[in-house]
Amino acid sequence: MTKTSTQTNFTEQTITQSTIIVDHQMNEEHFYENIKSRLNELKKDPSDESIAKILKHAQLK
Amino acid sequence: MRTPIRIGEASDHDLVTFYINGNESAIEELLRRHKTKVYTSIYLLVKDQYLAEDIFQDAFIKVINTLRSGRYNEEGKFLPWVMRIAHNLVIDYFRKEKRSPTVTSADGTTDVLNFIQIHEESAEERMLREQTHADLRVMIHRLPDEQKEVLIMRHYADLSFKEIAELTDVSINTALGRMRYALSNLRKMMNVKELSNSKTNL
Repeated sequence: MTKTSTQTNFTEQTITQSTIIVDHQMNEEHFYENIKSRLNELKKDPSDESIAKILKHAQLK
Repeated sequence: MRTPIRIGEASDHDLVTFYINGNESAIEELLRRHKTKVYTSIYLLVKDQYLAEDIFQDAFIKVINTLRSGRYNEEGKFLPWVMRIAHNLVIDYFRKEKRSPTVTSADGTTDVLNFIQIHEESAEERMLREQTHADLRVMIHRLPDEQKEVLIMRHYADLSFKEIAELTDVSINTALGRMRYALSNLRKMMNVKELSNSKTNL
């Protein structure tokens, strides 16, 4: 009897924990979608000087 | 008769082959495609514009030298390979400097440059935007190193979790978990920042 009750509690607890984890993951995914544009604003390009140096090095003789 | 090569439509793999076979414009196209991803990732890791420029140059010079020497392993994709080289150069730099890549203070050099630009433009909106960018950069830098790495490689370098896992020598689940923790921590920091801003405005 006690064993069954414990098993039921354990199952319920596992389901609750799984639900919390899934909710948490969905929240993070939603949050990520929301901040993508803000993160994109930090994108930067290297200077023209850096590109020129690399291209000069890349010249084939 | 040779078929005309459309550089812009070629795959990275084909561009590498074109360059090895003597077409210099192929490397220019590879640079054009990947410069923002690679440079932004380096910059956000080292948080210094000039150092990022040096590491970016060194990474692509290594790429070119490897391609020329015929040591390029065609099994992997081009961008993850470049990112691995750049990542190793960043690690080497921090090892040499014997300092942690986790820097929580603002980037003095960049801020000075931003400050000058703001005054030249005299735009309040621009100042606010620059401040928001600076805040976000600081938040990313406050993340634990392994979370910051995954966030930067996923979002800025556009690598898959499989590629990130291979590059950082962890399982895919670990890489996924680190991304989730990074987002969770970022959200907490943004909430704190918004709360402090709203208190200031009261």
